[in-house]
Amino acid sequence: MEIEGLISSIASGIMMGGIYALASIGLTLIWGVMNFINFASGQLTMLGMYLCFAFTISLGLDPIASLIIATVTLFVIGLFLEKSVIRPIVNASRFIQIVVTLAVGIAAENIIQTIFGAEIIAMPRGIGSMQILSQVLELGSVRVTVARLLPLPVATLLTILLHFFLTKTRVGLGIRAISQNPYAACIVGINVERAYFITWGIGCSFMGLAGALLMLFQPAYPTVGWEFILVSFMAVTLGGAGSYVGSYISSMIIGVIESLSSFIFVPALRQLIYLSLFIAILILFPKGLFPTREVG
Amino acid sequence: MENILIKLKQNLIIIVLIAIAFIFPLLVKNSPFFLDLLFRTAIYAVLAMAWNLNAGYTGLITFNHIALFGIGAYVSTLLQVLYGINVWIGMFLGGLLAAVIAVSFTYPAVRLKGLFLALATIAFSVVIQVLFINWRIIIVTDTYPRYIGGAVGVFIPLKPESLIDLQWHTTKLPYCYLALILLLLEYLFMYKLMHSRIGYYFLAIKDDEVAAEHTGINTVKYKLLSIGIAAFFSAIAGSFYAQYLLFIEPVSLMSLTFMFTISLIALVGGLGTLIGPLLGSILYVPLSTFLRISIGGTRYASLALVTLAIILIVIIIVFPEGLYGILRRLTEKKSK
Repeated sequence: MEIEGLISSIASGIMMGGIYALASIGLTLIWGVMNFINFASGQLTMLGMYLCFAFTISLGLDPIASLIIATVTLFVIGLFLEKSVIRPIVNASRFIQIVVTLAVGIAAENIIQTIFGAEIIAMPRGIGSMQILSQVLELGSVRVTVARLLPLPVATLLTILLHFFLTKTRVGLGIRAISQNPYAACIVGINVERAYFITWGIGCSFMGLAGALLMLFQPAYPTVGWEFILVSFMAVTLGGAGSYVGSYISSMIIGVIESLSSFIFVPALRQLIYLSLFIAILILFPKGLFPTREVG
Repeated sequence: MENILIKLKQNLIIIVLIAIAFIFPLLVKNSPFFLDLLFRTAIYAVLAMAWNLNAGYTGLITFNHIALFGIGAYVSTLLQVLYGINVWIGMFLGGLLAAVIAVSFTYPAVRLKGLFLALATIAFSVVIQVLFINWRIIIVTDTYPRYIGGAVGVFIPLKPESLIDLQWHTTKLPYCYLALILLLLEYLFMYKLMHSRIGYYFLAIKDDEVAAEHTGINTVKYKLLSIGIAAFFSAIAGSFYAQYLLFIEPVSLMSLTFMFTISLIALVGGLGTLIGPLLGSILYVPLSTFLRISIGGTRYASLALVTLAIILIVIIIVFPEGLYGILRRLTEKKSK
């Protein structure tokens, strides 16, 4: 019984890791390419959740379709944010980056609260593909809903796609060049502003997709974003800024640590355990587990 | 004589502010609303000034002040409830304890740079908050045991109005004056500190830590000193706040949103300036209250915060030096 519980909590940790991986890859991309800290990341994930919900309920779309539309919408929101708020402060000090993006996050949170209210919302089970998604599967001793199985393969697939985008396409190579040296990239004729623009779009759509996938099996509330900010920053710091593979791996580790600590200890102390562990890792490895470049 | 006049002229803004601050409560002493506004402005300014010491002067992005604020509130409150110790002693002990906790936490983390320190201190704040939410104390009285603490919070036992017990029930006026005095003391302390050798060490560490170390400054020691001083003032503000509300609970007292509000105030006012945090608080607290009153119905209450966030974003983007920068530019133009 104990062993079965252990296995199923490790499995659910890895499945949750898929969500964290998507959210933290969005963060690490923007951080690595632009050397920009986005503290609104949690709220962008929250926006993904609410948009997925809104498209399903008010437009009557299938949950999977609204998940895709929500991701695309987040891409557009990311482009808009970059153009309006981020571009003036892209070279500003860390403080200004942190506090301005925090303010953006607070604004987003309260816009959502104005529209949807502060109540907890959840996807209704009867609509379209939710009937399949909310069914319970038994894989050995692990019992999961179908929706919980989705994030991990989606995250893996998108990480691979992102890898090909960044190493094979012209735009992607430009983005990587900028992350290594913006001035040199500028001199050889890469359009830095456009690359930043696209990076923000991709980053935000990854964060939004994480939220939309989460919406299929977890309820949402306006302040849910705060729970992601710490987790995705943990993943990025441990994985190294700009390294999406590092973020992917450390997201899985964080997912497992999180679910194990609520399995072994009291669920109420879950945050306490993994945050203390995070502090300990930071103190032992002041530049993260896989340091990529001078950050801070 | 001339020297004094020049000094007065240089510090004209702050003297005018002090005068207004000390006369204002008398004008509104019959309005609990304005007194509350003034009290919160002063307490937020105390916190923002403490944050500014780390962020603006020593260059350390720390987000643990809210936990230290909470520790200050809890120490003075629990000492009163459990042992009947006078609040002033509790306040002082809370400040010392917060400084010790902050320093001993930061000592191993002192190698962390910039954002990593920010993340570690955010994690520290959440850990402290979770601890206080889950920590319940059993008190066995004559008849039955009861719980205090936890998410429910702690009530401070009511006592007759007096300065010794720091409680007033009919009017909030004395709280306002005490908060203003605390603010003034902190301002004077920061002024003295930043015009002393230690203050210059702080600035040197912020500008270039390696260079500072090479000139013989013990950077670890002075970083910890900066963190300890900021922690002490944050905790004192916490005790004051607890005594004002006569009730504390960890969920709203130690929320990260509150922490970020404090840093926003310091940034809007002007980071790394003495009166910047004060100006930020004078703008932020009345503005947020006003917006909450004018927009805050039942359904659209959260639009108030949206407006506030947008106003602050615009201020920071257009004037990266904050309100202090605007003021200085205005006065420089005049003198030309």
